[in-house]
Amino acid sequence: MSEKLNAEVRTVLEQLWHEHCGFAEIAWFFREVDAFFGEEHLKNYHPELIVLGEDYPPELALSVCDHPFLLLGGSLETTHWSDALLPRDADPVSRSACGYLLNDHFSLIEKATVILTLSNDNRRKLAGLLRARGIDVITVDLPPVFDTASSQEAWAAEMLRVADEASERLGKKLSYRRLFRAAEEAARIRKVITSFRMLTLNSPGCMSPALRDLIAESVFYAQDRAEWLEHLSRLTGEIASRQQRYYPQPDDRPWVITVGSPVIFPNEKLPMLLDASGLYLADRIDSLSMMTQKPALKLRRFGKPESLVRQMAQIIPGSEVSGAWTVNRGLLNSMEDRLRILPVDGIVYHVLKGQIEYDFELPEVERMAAEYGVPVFRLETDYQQQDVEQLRIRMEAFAEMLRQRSGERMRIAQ
Amino acid sequence: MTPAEARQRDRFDRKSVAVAEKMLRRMREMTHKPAALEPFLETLSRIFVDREDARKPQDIPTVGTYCVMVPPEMIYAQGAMPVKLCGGSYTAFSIGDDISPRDACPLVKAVMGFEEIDAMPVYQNCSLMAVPVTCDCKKKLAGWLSARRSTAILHVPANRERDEDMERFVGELYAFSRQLEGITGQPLSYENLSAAFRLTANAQYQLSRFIDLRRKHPKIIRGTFAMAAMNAMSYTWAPEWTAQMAALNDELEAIARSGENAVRENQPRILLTGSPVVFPNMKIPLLIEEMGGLLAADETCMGERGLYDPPAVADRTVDGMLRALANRSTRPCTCPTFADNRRRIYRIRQLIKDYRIQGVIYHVLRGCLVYDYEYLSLEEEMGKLGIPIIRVETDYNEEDVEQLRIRVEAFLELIKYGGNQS
Repeated sequence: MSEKLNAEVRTVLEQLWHEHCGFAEIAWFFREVDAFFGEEHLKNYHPELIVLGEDYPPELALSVCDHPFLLLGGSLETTHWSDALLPRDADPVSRSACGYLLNDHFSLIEKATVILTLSNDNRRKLAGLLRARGIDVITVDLPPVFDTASSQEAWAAEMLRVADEASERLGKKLSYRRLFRAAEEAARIRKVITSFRMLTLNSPGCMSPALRDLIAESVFYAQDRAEWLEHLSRLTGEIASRQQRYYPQPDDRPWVITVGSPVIFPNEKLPMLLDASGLYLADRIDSLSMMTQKPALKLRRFGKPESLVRQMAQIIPGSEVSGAWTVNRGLLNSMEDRLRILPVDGIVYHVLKGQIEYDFELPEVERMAAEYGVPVFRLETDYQQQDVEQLRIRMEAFAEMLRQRSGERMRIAQ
Repeated sequence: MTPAEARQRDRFDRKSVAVAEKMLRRMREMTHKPAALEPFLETLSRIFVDREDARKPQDIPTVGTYCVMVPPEMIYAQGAMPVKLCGGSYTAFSIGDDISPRDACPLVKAVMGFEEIDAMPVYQNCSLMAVPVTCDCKKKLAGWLSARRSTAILHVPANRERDEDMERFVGELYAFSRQLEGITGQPLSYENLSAAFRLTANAQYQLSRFIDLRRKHPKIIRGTFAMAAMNAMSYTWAPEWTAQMAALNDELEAIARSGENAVRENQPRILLTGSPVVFPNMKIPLLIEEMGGLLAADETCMGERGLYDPPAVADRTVDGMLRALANRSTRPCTCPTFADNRRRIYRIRQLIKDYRIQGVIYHVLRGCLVYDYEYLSLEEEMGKLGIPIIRVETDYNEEDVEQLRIRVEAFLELIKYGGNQS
């Protein structure tokens, strides 16, 4: 049955394969992702540490384990595997993650400790469900607010506790040196991804947004991160050199950003739908894409892990797009940044069925978008494909409206 | 107020009063209603029909609480009165429906509706709202309320076994106490906290008498009446509720002595568990009992669970008592907000044994995901015990009543004629 997961991944990769202007380096990323989801690899893959949830800082995970597996969900096939275990209204991300962990086809959890951030109800209950099946789970209990001194202190204490527990289980002591190296590596990865993204934004025709995001997020599936960094730098170089040699084709598609629930590979339904409707997905503001765009830490060569984690507590929670907070300020701030710096014509508010915490933010998002005169389109979906045609019709109408607005603005300007 | 708002307000007034009156009438029309139940029903009538504020002995502020995890002792100690504001109104729900996400739970929609319509003194006169973050909807409700009202947000630990988790919740209680002091000007002291402990201990004593009576004589009172009495506690000054409960217990003891039963011998004894039943949403208890069942016990936070566990004070200082409250609010609690909630199953097993339960109705309010998650494990457990269980998903409206009636009736018949001899 795991060949079905592989087939799901292959289908998406095949769709994305031609969506770039012939950059040779891209093939490496395809091979890497395809190999990761390969049947044989999954059967023999037994990570020591699985991190479930984007709210746990990768710096801390990397400081206690060289190759942690960030389990994101995203697969329709694995959601089917967990159907009998979860209630009807559980969100597809949790369903998929549960399917990855509890199935009869491969055993990711054989040797693993799972770090699970309790950022929503699904995760909270999933922790109990996994523990009841004998899985070693360390939960991360996030405070519901992030902007008070006490909540930052609580955040730092919780992160340290989890890192300590994980290091004890994995036999790798959490030290400043390891944390410093991990933070440096995470910063390097973010820096390379940022320059890659900026270049693709300058020439939107060089590759499709879905492919761009897959390449940026393929770091989570890379066997060797140093090699991955090298390949992404090379690809960035290829794009830059192409831009120097050829004047980028103007792209007159309306620019949109997606805000809300995360788009997780291989579920590329939304980016593909936007593309098919003639919209250019300039950026995504969701928990996953923001993982690669977090503000940099001020790193000192010597210190204590506590001091670095306290610094993280001041920076990271506020910049996170997380359902864990009573008010998702990170989502609103990131959205405002994009509205200021990018020529955004519209916002697609993406809500995965069951992710109620994002739906609560919609009025605030609409209010802010109205201030910038940008229309918001709410799109609710799951990992199934049945609603694609309905969504396409709605999306095309939205795209048509954006084109008319932009034409109107041009006419007034002239 | 614009004409449209005035019309909406008028509609709200008429409809919400009509629903509350209807529920009260249905309860009053049930047979074997003890005379001592009337004060509880009057309290509900005063709040939901006459639109009065909660009655207090002095002119002290009220604090709205949105979960049983907010210790009432602290609020009493610092010179305020707690009122539980989890909403059960169909009319407020329909107003909240317009301003909240479609899939939000009806309880939270009702709260948002009450806040929006600004017509209920018991909500509007609160000086502080205390919202423990127990689920996604409450979390977002806390954010929404804090933009409008003075709000205390309490972080409830998702785990409760470790001392650090408890320590964090104690910290939350200290922060809450500071907010309380801000509105009452009264700091927490050993004397006032001890006095507040006595208030709730008296209420708990009467509740334990009531529980004991129901255990020994499961047919002595209808469960709908018990739920009405527990709901009335939300809006009643503790000593007053204690006196009312004492009178009810006295009457029930007399009934027990006379050997009279509230229901027939062969009526199936049902346990109601799951999402809270908040007045006026008495749909499920009324359906069970109108269809010939006996709601013998409940495992819901608006029922006995709200006052069931007493705080165990090991250290007789303010800090020690706060720790006892933090422990009481979380450790024995069977709320599904906790990641590991195996104790809910133990508690339900105990209730099944104590009340000789023959069937379990699992109440899920649409959107109440945490309860839905626990259904599968409970179903498995009930299967082992041979106790039939039915999952009933509902909302705050009357549209599904007939469908539910058929299901509940069939379930009761299954127990009655299915040969379940538990």
